[in-house]
Amino acid sequence: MANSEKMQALMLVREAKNLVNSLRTGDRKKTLSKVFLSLWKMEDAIMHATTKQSLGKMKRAATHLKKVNAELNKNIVELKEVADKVKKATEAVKLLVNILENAAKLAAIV
Amino acid sequence: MTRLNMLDLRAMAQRSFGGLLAVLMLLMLVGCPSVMTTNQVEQVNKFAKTAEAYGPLPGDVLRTYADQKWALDLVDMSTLEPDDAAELFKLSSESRQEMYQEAAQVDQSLAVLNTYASLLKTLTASDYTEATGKEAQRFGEAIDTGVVKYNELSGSSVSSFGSIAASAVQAIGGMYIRHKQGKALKAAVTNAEKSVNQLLKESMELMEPYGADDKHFVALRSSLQTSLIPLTDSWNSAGEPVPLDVVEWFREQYLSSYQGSKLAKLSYDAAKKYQAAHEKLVEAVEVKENLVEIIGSVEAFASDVEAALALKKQMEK
Repeated sequence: MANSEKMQALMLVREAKNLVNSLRTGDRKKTLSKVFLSLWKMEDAIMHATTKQSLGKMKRAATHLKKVNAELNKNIVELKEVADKVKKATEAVKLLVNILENAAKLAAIV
Repeated sequence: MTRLNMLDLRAMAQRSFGGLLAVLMLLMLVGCPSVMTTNQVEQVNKFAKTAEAYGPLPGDVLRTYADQKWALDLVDMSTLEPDDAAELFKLSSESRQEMYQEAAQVDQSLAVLNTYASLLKTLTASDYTEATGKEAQRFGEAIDTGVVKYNELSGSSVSSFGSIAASAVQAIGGMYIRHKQGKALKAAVTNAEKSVNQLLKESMELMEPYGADDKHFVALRSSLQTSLIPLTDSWNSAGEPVPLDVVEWFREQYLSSYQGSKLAKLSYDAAKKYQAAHEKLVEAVEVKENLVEIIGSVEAFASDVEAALALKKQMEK
């Protein structure tokens, strides 16, 4: 298990999730609640990142977040910090997914 | 020589031979490495008792986190749109369930180690008899059943070690019970070494992010802080301040997460000391000179377990 990569991805996802949660007020509440939920799913998938099922969840959450992030960048200029954090978290998750997939392939060969 | 004198001489010779045999056997037993000193046996017994008390602690760490995370998710649900709240409710319930399953895996690992501790206690009993020997055999069988269950839950492949200990017990009994008890104890401890290490290692891996570097409980506290913002916003939007009992609830959750951190650290450290004490135990049953080290290791393990149990008691109040 790529433990340090897992903890790194988890830290970035949590940072992004907390930032999004702290900004979930007023008019932007609805939009940011969707981002919050996606980050929640990502955090949960990493927490339980030992099964193939959790790999699938991570991939789906990363793809969804990429789309949401593109929207954030287009529409809400003042949420640039959120977009940056989400981008960093998504990249860390992608790296973790690659490592886990390679480890799974290696285990299958051995 | 009369017939009477002849009989006297034969009886004398038989007595001398019997006495000589007894002395020879005694010398063999004393010189045999299987005989354990009272102090060695006491230390094994103390280790076993501490190990039994440690049993439920690691699983409790995971359950404590799962419960506190669930409470936090409930707060977030209350500030989400209905469809998002319903989705989070489902996901969070599943996640909690998954964490409880991980806790059950750790519980099962510790259940095996507990049975092993009971076996050691039986093998170090001062009133060891044929009946306690049979009891030890039952513990041996229970260890193997427990290992099978653990492997099913975790997908791991820990080797069974109970029946090996049980067969060593079977071979003893009858005369020279103390000597043979020591022999069985050595066989049990030596054969258990690899599996005990693996069981502890796998439990520690699950506990590591909670206990070793305290990542999860720290994150829980940060999340609690930020969750208060949308919650306050909801109350304020309705023209009301956040009720004080809600703020008090947050304070309690915050403090509980600190206790969770502490319990996790103590349980993780105790697991490390468990491993160290068992390693010393393996050495100590082989070499009597290592007794000082085993005493130190068992004491350190016992003191961590004691502190963790006291904290758990406090948390349950």
